Amino acid sequence: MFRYKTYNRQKCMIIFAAVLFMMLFLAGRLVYLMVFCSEYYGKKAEDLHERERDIKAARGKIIDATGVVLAANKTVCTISVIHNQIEDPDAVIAALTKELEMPEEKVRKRVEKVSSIERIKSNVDKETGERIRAYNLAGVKVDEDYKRYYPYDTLASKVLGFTGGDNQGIIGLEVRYDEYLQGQNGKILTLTDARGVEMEHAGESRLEPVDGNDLHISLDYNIQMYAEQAAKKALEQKQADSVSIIVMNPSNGELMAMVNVPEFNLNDPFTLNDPAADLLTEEEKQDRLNGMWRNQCINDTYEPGSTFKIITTTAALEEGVVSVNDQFFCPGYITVEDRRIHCHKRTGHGAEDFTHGIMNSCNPVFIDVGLRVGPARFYEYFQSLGLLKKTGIDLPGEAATIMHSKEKIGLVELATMSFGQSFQITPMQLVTTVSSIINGGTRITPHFGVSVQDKDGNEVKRFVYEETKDIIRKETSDTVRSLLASVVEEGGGKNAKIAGYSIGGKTATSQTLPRSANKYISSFLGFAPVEDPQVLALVIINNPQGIYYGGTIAAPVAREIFENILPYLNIPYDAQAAETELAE
Amino acid sequence: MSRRQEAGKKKEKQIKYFDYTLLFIIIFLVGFGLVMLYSTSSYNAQLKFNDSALYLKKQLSASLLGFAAMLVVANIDYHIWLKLSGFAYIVAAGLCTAVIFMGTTLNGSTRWLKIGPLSFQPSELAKVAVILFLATIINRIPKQMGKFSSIVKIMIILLPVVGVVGYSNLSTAIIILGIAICLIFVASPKYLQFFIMGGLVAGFGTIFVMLESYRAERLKIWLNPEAYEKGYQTLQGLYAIGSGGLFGKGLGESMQKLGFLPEAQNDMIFSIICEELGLFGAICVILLFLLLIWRFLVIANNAPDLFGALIVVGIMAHIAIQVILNIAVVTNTIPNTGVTLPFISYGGTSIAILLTEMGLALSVSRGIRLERV
Repeated sequence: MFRYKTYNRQKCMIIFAAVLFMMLFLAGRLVYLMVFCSEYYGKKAEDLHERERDIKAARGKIIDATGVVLAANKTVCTISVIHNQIEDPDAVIAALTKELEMPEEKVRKRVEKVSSIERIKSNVDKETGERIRAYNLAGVKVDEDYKRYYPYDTLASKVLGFTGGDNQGIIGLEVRYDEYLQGQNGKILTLTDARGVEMEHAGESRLEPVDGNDLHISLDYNIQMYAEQAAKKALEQKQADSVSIIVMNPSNGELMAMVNVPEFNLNDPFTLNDPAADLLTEEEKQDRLNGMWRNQCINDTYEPGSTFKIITTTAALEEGVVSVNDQFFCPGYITVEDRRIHCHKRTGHGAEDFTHGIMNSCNPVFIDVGLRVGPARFYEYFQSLGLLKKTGIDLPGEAATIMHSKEKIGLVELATMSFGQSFQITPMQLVTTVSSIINGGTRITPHFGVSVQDKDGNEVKRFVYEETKDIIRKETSDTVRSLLASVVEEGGGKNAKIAGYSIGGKTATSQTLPRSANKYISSFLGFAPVEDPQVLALVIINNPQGIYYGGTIAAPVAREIFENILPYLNIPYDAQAAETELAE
Repeated sequence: MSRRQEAGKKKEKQIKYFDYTLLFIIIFLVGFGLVMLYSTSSYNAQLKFNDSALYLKKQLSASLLGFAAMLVVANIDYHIWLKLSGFAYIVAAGLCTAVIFMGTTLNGSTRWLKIGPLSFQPSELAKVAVILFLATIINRIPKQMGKFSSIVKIMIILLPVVGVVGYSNLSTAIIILGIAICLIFVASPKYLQFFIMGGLVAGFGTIFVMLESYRAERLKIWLNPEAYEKGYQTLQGLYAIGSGGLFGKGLGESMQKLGFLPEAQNDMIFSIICEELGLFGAICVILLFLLLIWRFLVIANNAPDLFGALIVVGIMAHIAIQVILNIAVVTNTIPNTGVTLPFISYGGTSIAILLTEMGLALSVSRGIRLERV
């Protein structure tokens, strides 16, 4: 036998050393993979193992000023099938066909489709979902889900807006306050093996959804209801195209109502309220839908007409070019440069002071006053009163003012602008600007959003809106209010008078473009009480048939609303004055 | 000193030695391997064969058979293999040849011989046969081991087996070559020729790889497993290792074994160990193997004669190469090649023959004469 020599031992040691070295290297490699790359590979592995199902977060409610819920959620179910978990396909098909009232072949097709998860039907009401769950069929999943629900269907539809399939806001406040209402969807994570079969012992890890916060708005359900009823009545009686009403608190810009009839059903926003809808192409249908969803108070502009004389008056008073007692003479027309512009009363108002000029809504008086202010200054008042900017209302899609450029305002343009023609503003802009004039000179931002509260009623956010103080002198504001009071008291707006309440206002009748179409917009803007305005309403009747004078048809609508809401809002009521008036 | 006294003294000095440390490491490794195998394979076994313990049962019976063989071999004087190694070598070569013609195909490769209900992987036997055969040859010509010509001669003798094995199982052929090189290296008094040889092998290897696009593709997969479909297994292994972290997900908690990692119980079992037991467990396993190899070193360096020492060196090389290659493949340190992790990976033939091999090492350890100081 040969001996094992020293060099053999040495070499054996070398092999061992080499092995040791290599193993250390591999251990190092493991440290690298399992410590430094752990997160990367771990995440990738997790993605591979997890199946994710969303749990929808409940969207926040929209609640009015009195606590009435205007937008809420309804629990609905989504029925889906997991193909490789189905044990008895025929029983599943039979049950689903029966409960979901769907054609059998449609259900069969989905049940027999080889996919990891196949949705059969969503937005199934809760009772049906529970009945299906009671069958206890393997492979059938009933997931609860929320669906936006509007308890009052059409109420303030164009203000509230509605949501789409992913619970996202599509129009109105639902879009504007989406970030607060939305909430955060939760997740159900289940582990699956390589075939996609969920692990039984692993359980589910749930990421709980965070429900959306509630939006509290200044809109008052009752006032909105009154306004909507009045608007509907006017719409029917006058066979108008549409009637818009805005009710706002002029001191702070809180909107109490915004009506645009015809409204649409928020719970069914994709159905046209037009009987001929079936004949339309997809594109036409979409156009009609967009038209139906349009909020005329802010998305559309119009020539305000005589209601704009409030602004002309303000500019002239601020400029000091007129006082209430200034005397004017109206022969029925006025000639500006080479153009003869008629008064609405062709025979003329004759001699009158400025107060009567506004009471009569006399065009020559305002053209005269406007010319006294001059184009440059008049344009500057447009600017300083905020008419050239958007109002900043918290609704999407506000239209901008359509206005002459400063250089193009000649005397004729100035003359027509003085009585509210040849430029366009949104009804909301008119309401905001007049509010700013009558509230003592503070330009306010009209808004609905007041605060955001969580489910337990804790305030998450209170909205603060921009205000510009002293855009006009207080005296001007006082004068304008008293002038407008006399318009309602015994002028063109007397149809809005309510005994016992001090109401100011202005009527308007404007012809829409093209003038040849002979279409009119009748409107009335009123506020109360005159001394300290707490509510302002604008009524706009678009294309009424028959009589179209604002004082005749729009003012009574405003009165009807005021009759209902002034007591409701606790506006000072002078019983004695009311009696005297009735006695007369 | 009288002869009698001397004899008495000698008797007193000699203590019967048996490497119990080695035995316990082996038992521990096999036990650990069975636990990990059950953890890794139970889910797939339940799915495929409706018996979660199927792999465990097969492995356990092979292990028991192996232990029995180990005890028998450990109690036989290893010098018997001087006579039997040639025969063993021929039998192994014959069986490996038989595989090519009558083998059973599993998972796309033909490596098994079916004998009745049992299937048998002759290439595993070939490794032991080569160790014994080479030890026998070198033991005959220890003085000539320094010559380059004897090295070449030995390699030529080995060629048939390497060729036959390599035909169906390239990685085993590489292991056999590795074992041979280690044995010759230890037996030879020289160093330089090995360095030259190493350089030549590296050079030819590179050219070989460059020439064959199939191997070049493997290289590309190795460098960037995420970009290739064939990198799937490697990538899944990395996912398993990476998601283990420091202390792992806990025994039985692996996700990757649920069908994501193909052949998890075979070559890739180490990645499941990493996933379940973490870096801590993985390093422990490496240390355990290192301990095992260290025991072989101790036995080899204290072996009573060259033959015994060479047998143990061969075994040591065998285990070391397989462990290193396996872990290197699993961690994507080298391109993918199918090498099992000794004692832990699933494979009846492998575990039975490995245990028999351990019997050889134990048998050599019994020859160690300790002297009382």
